[in-house]
Amino acid sequence: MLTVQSTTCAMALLFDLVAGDISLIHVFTWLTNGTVHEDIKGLLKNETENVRYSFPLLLVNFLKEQSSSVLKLHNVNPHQKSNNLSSSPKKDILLPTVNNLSLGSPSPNSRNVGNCQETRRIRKVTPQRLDLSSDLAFPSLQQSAHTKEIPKKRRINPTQLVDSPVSRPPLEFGSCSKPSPSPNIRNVFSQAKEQASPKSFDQERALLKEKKQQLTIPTIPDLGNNTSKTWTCIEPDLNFVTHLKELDRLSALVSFCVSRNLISSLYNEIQFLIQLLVIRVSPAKLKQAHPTASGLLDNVHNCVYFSAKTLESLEDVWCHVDPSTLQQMMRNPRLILFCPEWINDKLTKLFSSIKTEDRIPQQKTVANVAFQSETDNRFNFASDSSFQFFRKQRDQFCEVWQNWKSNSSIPSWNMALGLQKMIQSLVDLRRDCVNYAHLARLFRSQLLNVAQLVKPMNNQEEQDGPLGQLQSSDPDKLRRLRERLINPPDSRPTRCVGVDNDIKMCFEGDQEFFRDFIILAASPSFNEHLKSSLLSGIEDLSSSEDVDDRAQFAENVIALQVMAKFLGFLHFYPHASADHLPEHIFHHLGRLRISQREPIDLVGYIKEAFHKGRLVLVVPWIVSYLTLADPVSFCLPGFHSALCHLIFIYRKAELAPANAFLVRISLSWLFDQPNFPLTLLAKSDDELVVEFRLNHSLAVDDQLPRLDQSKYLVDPNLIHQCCPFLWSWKHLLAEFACSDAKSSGEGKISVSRKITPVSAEDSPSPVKVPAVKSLQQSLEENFFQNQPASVKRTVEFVAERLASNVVRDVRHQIIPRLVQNAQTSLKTWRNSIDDRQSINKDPVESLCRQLCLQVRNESALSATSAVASIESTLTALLPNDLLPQVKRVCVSIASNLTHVKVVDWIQLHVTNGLFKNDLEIELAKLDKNVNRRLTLSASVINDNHSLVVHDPTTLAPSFLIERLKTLIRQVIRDAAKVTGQDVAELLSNTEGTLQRRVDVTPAVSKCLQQLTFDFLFILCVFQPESVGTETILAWVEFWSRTYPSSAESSAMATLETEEQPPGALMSNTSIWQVLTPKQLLLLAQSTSPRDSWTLVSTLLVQLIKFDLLRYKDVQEQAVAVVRQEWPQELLSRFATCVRDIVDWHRSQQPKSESSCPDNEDDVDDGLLSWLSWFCAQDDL
Amino acid sequence: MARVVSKTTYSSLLDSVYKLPYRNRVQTLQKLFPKLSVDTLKCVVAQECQRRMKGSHGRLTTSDAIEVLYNRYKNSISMSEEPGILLRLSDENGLTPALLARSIIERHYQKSDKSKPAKLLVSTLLKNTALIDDRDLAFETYLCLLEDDEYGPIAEATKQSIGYEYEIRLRMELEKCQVSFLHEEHLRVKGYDKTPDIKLEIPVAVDGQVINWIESKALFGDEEVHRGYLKDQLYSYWNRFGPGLVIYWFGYVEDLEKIHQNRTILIRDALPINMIFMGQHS
Repeated sequence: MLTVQSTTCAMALLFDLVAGDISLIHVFTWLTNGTVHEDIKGLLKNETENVRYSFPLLLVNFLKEQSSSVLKLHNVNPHQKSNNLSSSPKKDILLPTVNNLSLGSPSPNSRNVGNCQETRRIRKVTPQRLDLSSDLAFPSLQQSAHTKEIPKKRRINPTQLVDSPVSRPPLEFGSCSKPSPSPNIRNVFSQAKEQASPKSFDQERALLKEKKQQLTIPTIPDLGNNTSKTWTCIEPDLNFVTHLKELDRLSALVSFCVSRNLISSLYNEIQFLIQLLVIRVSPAKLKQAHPTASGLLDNVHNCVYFSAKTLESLEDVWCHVDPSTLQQMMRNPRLILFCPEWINDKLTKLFSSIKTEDRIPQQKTVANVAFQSETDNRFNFASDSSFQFFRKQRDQFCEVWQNWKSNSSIPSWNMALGLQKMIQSLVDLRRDCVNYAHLARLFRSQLLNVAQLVKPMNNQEEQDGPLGQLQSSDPDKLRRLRERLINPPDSRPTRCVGVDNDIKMCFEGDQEFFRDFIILAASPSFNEHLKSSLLSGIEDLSSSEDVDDRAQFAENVIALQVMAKFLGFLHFYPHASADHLPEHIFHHLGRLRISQREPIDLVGYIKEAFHKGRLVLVVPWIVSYLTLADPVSFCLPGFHSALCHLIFIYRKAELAPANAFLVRISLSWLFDQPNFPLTLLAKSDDELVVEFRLNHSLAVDDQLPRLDQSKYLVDPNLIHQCCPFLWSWKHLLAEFACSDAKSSGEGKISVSRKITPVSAEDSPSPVKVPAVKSLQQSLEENFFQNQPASVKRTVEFVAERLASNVVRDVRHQIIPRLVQNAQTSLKTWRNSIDDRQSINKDPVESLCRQLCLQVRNESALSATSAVASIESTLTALLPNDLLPQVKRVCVSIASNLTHVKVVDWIQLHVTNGLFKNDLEIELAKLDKNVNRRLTLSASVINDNHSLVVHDPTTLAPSFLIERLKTLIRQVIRDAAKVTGQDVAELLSNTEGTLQRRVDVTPAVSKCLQQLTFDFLFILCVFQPESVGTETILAWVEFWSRTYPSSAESSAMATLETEEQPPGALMSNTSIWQVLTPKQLLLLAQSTSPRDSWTLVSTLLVQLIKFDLLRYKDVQEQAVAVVRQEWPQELLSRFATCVRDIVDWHRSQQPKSESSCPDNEDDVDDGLLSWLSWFCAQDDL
Repeated sequence: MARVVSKTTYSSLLDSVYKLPYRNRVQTLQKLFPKLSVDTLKCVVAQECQRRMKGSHGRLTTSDAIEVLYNRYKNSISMSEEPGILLRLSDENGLTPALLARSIIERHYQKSDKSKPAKLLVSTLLKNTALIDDRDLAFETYLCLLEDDEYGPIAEATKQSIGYEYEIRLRMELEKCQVSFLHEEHLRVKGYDKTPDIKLEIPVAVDGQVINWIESKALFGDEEVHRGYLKDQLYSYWNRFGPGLVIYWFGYVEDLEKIHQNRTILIRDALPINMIFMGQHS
């Protein structure tokens, strides 16, 4: 912790250093390893260790303070109207000041209070009063009325330095480029510089030394109204740079600190340097607002010089920056002017050496989540209704997403109005954990798909679209749009006052949909499941082995980042506040959350990553997560350990250069968050109390590939994809180029970033038996230890896949088959119960037990047969130089593993409960007697399918139906003639269709049965001359061939109609209705009734003969007929017909008596004889 | 014979359909639109009829309305009118014959509390009119079913059969092209929640567009029909399997694809012959 005194010491050291009084080398050594040179010791006395770690921070602040006065005047667009400075929000208060560091405890207000401003104060003591009147110094500038300056959103602006009260006399500073400056102005200017600047610097330093102990805080009046002008800006010129040596030393110091990772705000510093580089200041404004030129970086020339020199020295940075940014730098006229060698030589070489096509892009055209039967089918749901509900949820989710996609760009569209109802109803459509879990999974998958598709800011693309037009018509608007998208959220001034807005601001593009979906759904249950889903996703990918490939690695890094971001959102969003929290409330909230646990063990992940060499994979997502943290969280003790570990990693971790850059630039972004506790950054390595000791659990599983040293994983594309804030560098430069008349039209280049899709799939975690290490296991472990790592991976992979295949077979083949068998036996049981009218025992329990046993046995068999293929598989996959014995061992291990996995699965899943549901449902179905016939006939048809070879020459069933229908209609209504040949053809056609086609559905088959029967009957009635006994015989034979189970199914149909009102209908609903009222009505219309009735008798006899109709059925039909009144003539014909049947039946009796004595159906109880006699009576 | 119809042709076709009397419209239309295939015309007429029924069925079958019709029917029977009573009533009233017959049966078999009989009973009676115990009603109903091409068990069976026949035809054509696919029944066994007729196990490209599934529709695709399918089926498939193809075997109105916006679902009237397969470089 720095005291005020040590701060002052450090400042003194800095001044001496820059002035050259202390050698840079000594400071470098001291900063590197703490060895203190005499000179330093003299200055710092006993504060050396304290100062050492805070020195870089002080340096950074010093730079910002030095340049603040100029930066404040920076205007982006010279042709743009400028704004009243004081009207812009308080954007200048974000940076740590020297004094913040001395505050003992983190305070929410630390950034806003304590503007001690001692350096400022000292500077104020010795103002330079150069009284050069502006009229003399500058040519007249265009005047304009009081105008506004568009508030700039830069986070780099230094501490709230309000200097140069308006009352002070103006001081000329800088030169104007246009309109063309007259030579004497330059002279005047340089004269002024020579007089003013060195003196002020020296004096300031001297004063600082003197006033170490005296601290008074002056109140500085805020800058008042500032009437500004439309302006031209000062062009930097090497000739006007003052303090060259000091600036060189300062630059070397900064460069050293950056290269040794001493400056924690890497991103920010470079951004700052670029801001200095592109600074544009109006001479008039400068004159008005900034009359003194007292500091090192108080003028444009010095700023640009310092920036250019320092940027040049940061070689390690530029090789990781994307080529389009580099190109902007190469085209920057100021850099060309100040560092021509670097630009023309090294940077150009670097630029041409960067290969942009390194990562092979996979064109992803599908942005929707594919249905995976493995995870999404019916087996993954507890019930049918759950499954059906989720089907709806899935479609509605997609609908909402599509809806958002097509509407979100319409400014007047409001997502809450448009979609909230739909979102809420879909999320809570079924309040069931299974549905929530599936929905969360869908949400996550869609999110990851989209994340991989996020497009970079790409000028090339913009040129064609609306943005391209904007670029030419209103570049400033485009700049502001870009800024909103690209610039770091916390660079916005609203961050401090509008935390609520801001956590939402972290999401851009399509991610906004997912953010708003969560907010609008407002479903705690969904949020909880989503958290779990994200957590498991993070866990899976963090420990993923599948990162060897560069594209895969990039996918994983990005997926992890997005998941972590949303996890952070879910976790921190409830803690967001739109207000600035007063200190007492802040501390109260802090106390409330003191024992709150993070949903994710960050320290654990960091440690593990550190040891396994996977920081490059893990740090980016941890940063994404932490960036969303609220101010209170950052002050929780539980949080600090994670932050300390990260700081330590920033300082010390050794990674391959690109990996290191990715890790450090991400971390520096985190450290710059406005809520980040700065005190931690000033801690010494020891004070961080970082525990990187190995705990033994980590040592066991060390098979994961180490990534941190890998040189080919990370490229500028990935870095920019992971750290989109880096684009702001390019945009600063582009903005400059854009507004610069000379370079406009150039400097807009782009590079397309490649986006690779990810398919996120949960790897099902196999059930693990608690590890009791046996000798065999140790042997196995040792065996693999001494083989190449790939051997173990291969064996495990093969075993895993084989086991998975077996499990799949069990699920899709064995279980359904056995369940079906069980259902059949259940049916038999049920039927037998029906007959005896006694329902006593529930068979489901015992059937379940039996089934379970069967499935387990069959599964074991299936596993055994699957294992047979292991040897050939492994031979193909293992290295060829393995000893045969080693291979054998591998085969046996893989076999065992497979067996174990299958058995584990069976133990867990194949239980009595698994079948209970199915069987109970089946029983319920049987009770309802529904679907019975359907399944029966469907299975008959399906069986046919496998045997039948489709004959396309046969008539299509629909055509045949139409034909029959038309024929029947014509015969009844129009008395159309049908020849015997027609009938025969029709028979063979029908038979062909039903026997030799695969496109006949059960319902159609049934319909044809009905129609053919109707057709034949109607012919018998209306055209008996076309029908002979032969014809009837042929048809009946056909029916009995085609519909063999008719008699049985008619019995079954009896069940179907059980529920019908009594008396409404005879119980037999068989198709073969010969003697019913309708048929008799038809017969009454016959023109040759004798022939017709003869045929009907024949038909009845044949139907009975072929078992399509039972004698009993005829009885029933006949009884129903006589319930109604009929003309006597018809009745007597009916009587004759019935008599014929009775006679025929009697003639059959003796034979059938011996063969089937129990056949109740065919017992002649004399009813029909009586009916026949009865109907024949004339006087009825 | 063209099956892809331009918007203007379609609207003039619809105009004619509306103007013509219900019976035998197809024959008249064939003369008016000689270039269009008969199947297309049949389909358009059928769809118009179904739409008309959808709109008026409720109004025409209120219990009061049916009571009036039933009484007229009874009256005609008692007057021993020529058979075809219900057909004539149908012509007069606008309900299709089969729908009218169904309503009359429902009235005839109404329960003692005047509520409708079980649906199963009614459908069994319609399937086999010989089971209707009133001989006149049985015969009248049968005549109605023979006349109706849109409703009733025979018409339903025909429509169902056509749908299935084209599905099978599609499967066979795909097999001929050696495209590997799973069909609906496979998918159902595998527990899919939404099952297109064909899910391509290996995607193919049609006219530069990758497709992953095919849905067969043995009817004519106009905007209303297509929107209905998009909502209930096609978008669901797209959501799950990505871009796909729907075949309207009896044709469709041009430019329907524009409805989809960015969701690619191709529309054709037959299986495209220019499919490009994976690994085939041409």
